[in-house]
Amino acid sequence: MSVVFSGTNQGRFTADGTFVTIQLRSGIDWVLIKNETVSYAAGAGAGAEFYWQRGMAQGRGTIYTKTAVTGALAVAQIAANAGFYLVDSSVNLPGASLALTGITAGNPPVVNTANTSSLSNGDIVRIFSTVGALQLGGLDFTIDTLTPGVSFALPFMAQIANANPGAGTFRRIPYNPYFYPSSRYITKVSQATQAIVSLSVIHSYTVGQVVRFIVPPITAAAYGMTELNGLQATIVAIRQADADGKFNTITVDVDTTGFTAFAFPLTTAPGFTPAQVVPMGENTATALNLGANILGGATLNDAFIGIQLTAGANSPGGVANDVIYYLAGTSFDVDNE
Amino acid sequence: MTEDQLTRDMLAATASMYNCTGGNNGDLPTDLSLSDIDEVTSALLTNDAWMLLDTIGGEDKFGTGPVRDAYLALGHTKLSKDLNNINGFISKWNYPNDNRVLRSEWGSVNNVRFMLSSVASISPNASALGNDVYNVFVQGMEALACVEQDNYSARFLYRPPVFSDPLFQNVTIGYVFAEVPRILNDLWITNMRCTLR
Repeated sequence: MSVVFSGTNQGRFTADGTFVTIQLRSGIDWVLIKNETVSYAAGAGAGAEFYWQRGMAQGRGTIYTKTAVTGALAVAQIAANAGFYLVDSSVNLPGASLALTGITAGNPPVVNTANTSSLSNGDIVRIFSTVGALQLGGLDFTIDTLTPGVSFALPFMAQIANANPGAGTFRRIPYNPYFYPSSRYITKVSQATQAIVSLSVIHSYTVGQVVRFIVPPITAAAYGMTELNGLQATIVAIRQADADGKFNTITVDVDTTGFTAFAFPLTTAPGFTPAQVVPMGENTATALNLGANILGGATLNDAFIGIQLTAGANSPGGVANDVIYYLAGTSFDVDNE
Repeated sequence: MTEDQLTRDMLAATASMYNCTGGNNGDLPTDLSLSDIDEVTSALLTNDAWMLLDTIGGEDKFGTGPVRDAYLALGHTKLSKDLNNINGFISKWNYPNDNRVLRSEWGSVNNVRFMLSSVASISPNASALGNDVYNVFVQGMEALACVEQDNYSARFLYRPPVFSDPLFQNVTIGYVFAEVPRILNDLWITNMRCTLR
């Protein structure tokens, strides 16, 4: 029994139909949610109040549903995975290992799998233990074009020469490194007076940041553009379309027109260190000139603790346009025998 | 979180990486090998990174040998067995001078001395075969720094029971710090990623 502080935090937000994460620096032992919109409006069947405290299961909690005629509240347990989740963004645990059945050689590559229920467009996945397309093993990718129960695409990956014809596995990676800016893997580099560099996972670099390129020689062909290896560059634009019309890019002040073409390793390549962008500082003059934040390259700890409210009519996060109040606090003592 | 853990996670997020490929466990990255350690050493040398630790000269003692000047490597305690099996590994027990051994040190391989910790960096399920990847940060002098904001590092705060309640039953202990870890020169530090044998 060492916690002396027992205080509360309160606030309000308007739901947008997606889950809401409330950051609570002082920690949380309990939270009470009041959905003002549901409480005051006519009708019944939706959750008006919700409650959770330590000891209750993750994803659950208590729901008070508005009933017809009198509007009295009926108490029940929130459905599984529809309630509250404690969040600590400094804890990095990948999702469960899921089977895939193939990776196409299309542009972009498409991962075939029936296990898509835990995925959404924009999620990060890590691919491993494939029988083919071995060059993708251990790398992280942002996904899109999710077809439930069938497949998802790797939009920022270069086209691969040989498909993975069989089994493999992947995990959802529900986090980013909490220190900003972080390094990223390179998938494509254009040959241009200002090179456009495509990255495997959505980046958050800003104009004016200075990065260094690591482009190791793997085989005679890959990564090809070894002239870029070790060079430092200033980002002069972000999110310009690459040759495939994808926008997860940085444009840098390096003329690559005379460089060897960039080529992602093949499945037959020996084990290799991936080509990467490493953040290293800020070009203040460029940032000022382009109207960017001159502290954009500063190391920043984005970690937080708090609680996540699942969205839905019978969940604490509510539906779009619901006005929701919360009251959260810590207790002097927590004793869950 | 401690200052060490924050620095660890900053390095894992932003340092350039090198995948070990000289081991023989069939994964990517592979287990640690002499060739990988020498490769990283060569890269740091080429980048003009200064060694962090000085030579320990030979002495006339049985079972000891001189230790080269070295870069500092921070890794996980689970790597201890793999290090023992690397060709040329010198346990700190074999150093000629006990006074030059660091508390958390496990030993050295050529020009790298390894410090191990149970809270060192691991990237879960990040290898090509889905195994945990161990991040070993090999660094030269002044590769990184911890900026102490408001001119203080961690402060240990103890409040005796007289301040807590009328019956003097509870004490509190905690620490606070305002500190930013930062890589000063990315050329002088490398994340040598490896898996276990």
